[in-house]
Amino acid sequence: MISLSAPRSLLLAGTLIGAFTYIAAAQQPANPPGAATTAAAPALPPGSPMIGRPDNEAAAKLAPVAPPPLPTAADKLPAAKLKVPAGFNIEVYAAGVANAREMALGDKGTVFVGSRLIDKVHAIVDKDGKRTVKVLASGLYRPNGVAFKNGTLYIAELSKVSRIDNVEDVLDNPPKPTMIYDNLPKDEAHGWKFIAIGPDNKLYVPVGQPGNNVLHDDAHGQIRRINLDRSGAEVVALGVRNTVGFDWNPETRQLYFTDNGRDWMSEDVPQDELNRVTKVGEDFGAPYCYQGNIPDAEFGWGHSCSEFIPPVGLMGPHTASLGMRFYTGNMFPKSYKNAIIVARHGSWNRSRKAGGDVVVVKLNKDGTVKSIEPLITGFLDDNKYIGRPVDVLQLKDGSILVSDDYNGAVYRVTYGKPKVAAR
Amino acid sequence: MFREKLRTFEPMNEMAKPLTDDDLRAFSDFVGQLPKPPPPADAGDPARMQRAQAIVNQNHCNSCHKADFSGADNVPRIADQREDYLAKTLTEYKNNSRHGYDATMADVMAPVTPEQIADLAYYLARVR
Repeated sequence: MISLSAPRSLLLAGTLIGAFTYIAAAQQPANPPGAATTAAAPALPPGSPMIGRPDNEAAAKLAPVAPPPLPTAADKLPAAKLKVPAGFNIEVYAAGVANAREMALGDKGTVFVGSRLIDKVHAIVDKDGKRTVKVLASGLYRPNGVAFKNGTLYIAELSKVSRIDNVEDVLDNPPKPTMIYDNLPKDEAHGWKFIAIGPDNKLYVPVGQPGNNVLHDDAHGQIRRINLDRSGAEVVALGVRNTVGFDWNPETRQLYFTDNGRDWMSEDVPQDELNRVTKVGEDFGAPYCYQGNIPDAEFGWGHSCSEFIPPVGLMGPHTASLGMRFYTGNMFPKSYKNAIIVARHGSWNRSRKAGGDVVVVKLNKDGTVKSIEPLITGFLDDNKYIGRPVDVLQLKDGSILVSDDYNGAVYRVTYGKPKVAAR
Repeated sequence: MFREKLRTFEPMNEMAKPLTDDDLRAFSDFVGQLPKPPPPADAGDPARMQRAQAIVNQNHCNSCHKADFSGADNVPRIADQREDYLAKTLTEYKNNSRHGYDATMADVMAPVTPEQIADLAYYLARVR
């Protein structure tokens, strides 16, 4: 840290405030300005996205992308600029869903939407073709994750999981969520959560690594599962840097998850991972080994990538592969059946942005990756985002929804002759 | 933020209550058109300005806020804003009471001391 920041301080001090540097140097010949700087401010916090940034101009231009504070007005949404393959259609499903993140589908068709930057979970209610967006819960802290099972909505905040029972019967007058699990770290970095309930009827809760590239304790860098009665917490996968999407293969019932690779290693590596858990307790390598074959320059010493489970698929460098679901519907062409649809939020840690799309990962019979093809593109326009996909969700009719946290909107993708739906 | 009570100051919370998203967008567009604040005549105490510059370098403020602190896209202009406003905002990021934003600023501010916040606000309010 110190060795990285000191030369940068020297450089900037030299170019921007050269006059002051001279004065300081004259007054304190024994202390170069860089040393004074280091003493004045301690190192960056372990969660800072700036850790590991190389000292050059191109890297200095890169930083996480902040979305606008308000959802985009319905008539300003970029739906017309989004491209889908021939035969597919894309339309706005709902606007005004501020900072829309993970989605969950209720038995009665309600779409629940979490958020990361605001304090709310929204419910999109579709009644006779007329959709309304309601605030279901507010005053929450980074309620990114939502999952639905047997009438109950589970909500994951930064460091706790809560539930609302019979949620679809109380949409107009919802009670406060009841906390069920909070044995979770409170780190901001990679602390927001995607959650899902597995075919084993357990709730899967990830805990990301508390920073870009850090060693950490046993409570981080993993996916856990707990019984819905809150008992029996156990770790399912280790070496997980930050997964914000997972689902189970409908044929093999194996858990697949996306995992975001570290920042600042280089423009083109490591790639984000698509992983498959075949056995409880497998280790997927972070922070020792990335994308299955790159030992980390700092933490890889004393380890070999062969100690860890390699990914089944590589999802592109810094693309932020987030929400993913297996497609089990009948609306899309046959080749989509049991394929994985992945929302790639898009990179910030790359000069030429990558991702910012929704892709289809088709699998071989043995569960390995056959191909990765685009499904929705156009979120990235001239190296700038006009929207950023976060999660995908299949509706009962086989169409899929895509959430966009940049615009606070949800889109719907259908296949076949577009029906003239009531808007 | 005031409307959603993500930021609390009662008169503003009350005034923002009836505003629609469209009202807020129009208001933001209007504020965005206002001329940038000019640097004050007071150039600042050189030693203090230099101390703050070192803190700026250490924490990579220019990465997002640009070399002249003019900001870009959704990163705000912080150059020549009011010193008390800057100090209050930075303090709220540090103690994580300023919600509704990406966690980046909370992370950045974690190691910055209250004395350094005072220096940063002093510097940013006078930077040119």
